[in-house]
Amino acid sequence: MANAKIRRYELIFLIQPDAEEDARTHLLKRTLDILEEGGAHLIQNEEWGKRKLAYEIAKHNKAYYYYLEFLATPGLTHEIERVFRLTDDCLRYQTIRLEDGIDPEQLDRFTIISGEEEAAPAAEA
Amino acid sequence: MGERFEGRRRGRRKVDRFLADKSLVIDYKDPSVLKYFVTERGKIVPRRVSGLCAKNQRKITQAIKRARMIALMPFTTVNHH
Repeated sequence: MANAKIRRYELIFLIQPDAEEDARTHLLKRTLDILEEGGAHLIQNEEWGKRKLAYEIAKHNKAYYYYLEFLATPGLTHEIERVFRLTDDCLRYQTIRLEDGIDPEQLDRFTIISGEEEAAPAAEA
Repeated sequence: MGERFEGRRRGRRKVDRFLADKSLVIDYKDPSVLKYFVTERGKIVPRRVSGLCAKNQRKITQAIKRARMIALMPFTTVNHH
């Protein structure tokens, strides 16, 4: 845990257009919780709202888009993707690795909007 | 050989627009830029047509494929006629 390399990820997920606001915020909350528990640092959190799809997915022409950018250790995205797979409302998810091998000591160059700074590694132990 | 070469050079000279304009970035989240590099049917335009350098052609290809996965761009579009 002491010196695991950090990666920068970008995650986009699509929720079906008929989903209630409660269900959507719940899923977002759950995703953010996993990130926080895993000691990730959130850089960006955007809701793009309901957008038209370029093609039909599961009979839907629109979907809610959510965009997250974060710093995390390798493997944490697997847990998030597992949750998305189990969530019927989630039409698509896509995680992109933007940067690899970031030194955990050198995170100052990122603007972190949430996630524990020092508490995370301690909670992991 | 020379003849053929000249024949091919006729017409619009192609420039890598990402090299020409540094403020343009290749981002899969921005279909408004990517759309110039696909045909009406949604196919990726080859480098000899797009005029991109090898590096940027690879980037654009990757970006279009990513954009397709999250339905920001179509895989194909059906022509209705």
